[in-house]
Amino acid sequence: MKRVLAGIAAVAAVALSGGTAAAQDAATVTLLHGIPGATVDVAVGGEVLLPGFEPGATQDLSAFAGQSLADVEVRLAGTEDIVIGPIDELAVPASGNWTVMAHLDAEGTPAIAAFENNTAPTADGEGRLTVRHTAAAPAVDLVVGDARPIEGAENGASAELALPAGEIAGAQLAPAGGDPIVDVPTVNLAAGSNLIVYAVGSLADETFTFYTQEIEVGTEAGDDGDEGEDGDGTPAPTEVNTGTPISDSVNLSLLAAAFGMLALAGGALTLRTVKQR
Amino acid sequence: MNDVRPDRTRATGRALLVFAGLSTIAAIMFGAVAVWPSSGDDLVLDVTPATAVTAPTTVPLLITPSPVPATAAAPEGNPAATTDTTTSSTIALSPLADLLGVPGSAIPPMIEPRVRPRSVTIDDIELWGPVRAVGLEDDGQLEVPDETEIGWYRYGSSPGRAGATVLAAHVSWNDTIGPFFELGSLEPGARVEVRLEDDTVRTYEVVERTMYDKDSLPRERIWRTTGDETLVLITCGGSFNPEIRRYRQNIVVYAVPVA
Repeated sequence: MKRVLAGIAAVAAVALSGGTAAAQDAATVTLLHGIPGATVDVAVGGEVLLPGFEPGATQDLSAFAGQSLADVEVRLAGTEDIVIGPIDELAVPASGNWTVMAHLDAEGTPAIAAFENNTAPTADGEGRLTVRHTAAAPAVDLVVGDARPIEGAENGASAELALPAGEIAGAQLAPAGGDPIVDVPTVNLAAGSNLIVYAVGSLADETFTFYTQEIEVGTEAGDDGDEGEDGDGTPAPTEVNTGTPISDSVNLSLLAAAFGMLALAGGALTLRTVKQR
Repeated sequence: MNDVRPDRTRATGRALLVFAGLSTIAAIMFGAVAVWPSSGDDLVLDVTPATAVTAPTTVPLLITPSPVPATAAAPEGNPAATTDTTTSSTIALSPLADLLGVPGSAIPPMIEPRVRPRSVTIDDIELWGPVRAVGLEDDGQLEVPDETEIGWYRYGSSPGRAGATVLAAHVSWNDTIGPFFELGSLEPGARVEVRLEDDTVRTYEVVERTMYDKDSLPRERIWRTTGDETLVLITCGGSFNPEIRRYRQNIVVYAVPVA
């Protein structure tokens, strides 16, 4: 029946195809299977669009940007058992960079969420680490050493950290305010990249794990993530101060004043010594 | 924070609109056949705008070869059926499957954490000091431990890997001498031993000592994770600026691994 209708609408559709192309130019939409342990079929309008979609797999849906998918079902692979849906209408974002994700909500019920990915360039030598809680687990803190850069993130939350490019090792997750219970795998954050880490699965079912997605966004300095002609993307400190540091701001102003007087008094001599080895 | 959940409306009227939309997409593919039934090339031309997606740039590390043909060359009723390799062939595939872009994987690659340096021994200047990992201060300066420890720059390289392993420590700190107090007297040929967390020891030989103005540290030699393995020791030296109570220069010692 649908195909008959399609045939009737043929001429109009050819005219509309240009519009479809314009919509997809403006958007990047990635579908992510974020429910470990269940290979699924994704069906639209009663017919399978995506057979054998495995946990951790992604599928580019950019061609559907700006469209609405009707009667969407996520089924256990090869069966009619519905995992998610039927969803009467699934609106695919029309612009921006999005990840549409099948995941478990806090209670362990399969759900679909859409996250917009930040594609703004990063600062020189930095990457963007995006952390998303999409697991059947309570609110969590991200623990790095003694610090908790993300606190109380609940299922569905997405948080971004701007970090110097490099290896990120030793991060852990803890129930909000509690002791760490899970190690986050070591990831390599490239300069000019948005690295998205998804916590997925279920703590109770022992399917809890992490998925990642990397989006090149470039740095403010240039498109390729390098800074300047000399660097390889490794962040460089602005300065290395390994002498006596400024330790007491109250005394400092007095000291600075005192030294300032001295410096004025012996000005020429002091300046002369600067370039000496 | 970006958490937008698509509405799941159940309005029948909207569903009908959607049905029309779906029909439109289907018509792009089948309509072309109806208009130019004899020409497969024309069909490809019509479908191309809808399938020329830019997806490979979105998940560059994770892309696996696509099992989906690039475009539907064969104008059959169910062009995606040939891609159905994982499930029963009795499943009716949606014609929309032809519009799917590139599949990929979000399973993260395994990265073994690096073995970190734990302590440094330089017999020539009677130095032994514990090492801890340091990063950057909020203002972009290198974080430097107090006078009891040596800092390993964790965004640089690590012993045994390509690039420069950077160790920095104070020459002096609030009237106390720091671990690198005598770095300025370290001569080429001196041995530097770095003990790692796994209790292995990596030995380096000093090849160069150079003093730089603080704003002139050679980026391409010190701040890198590619190229020849080099151990870089940094402290302060040269003239002292009493106004800001800081040295104006850095002393940098370069050492290379001993085979």
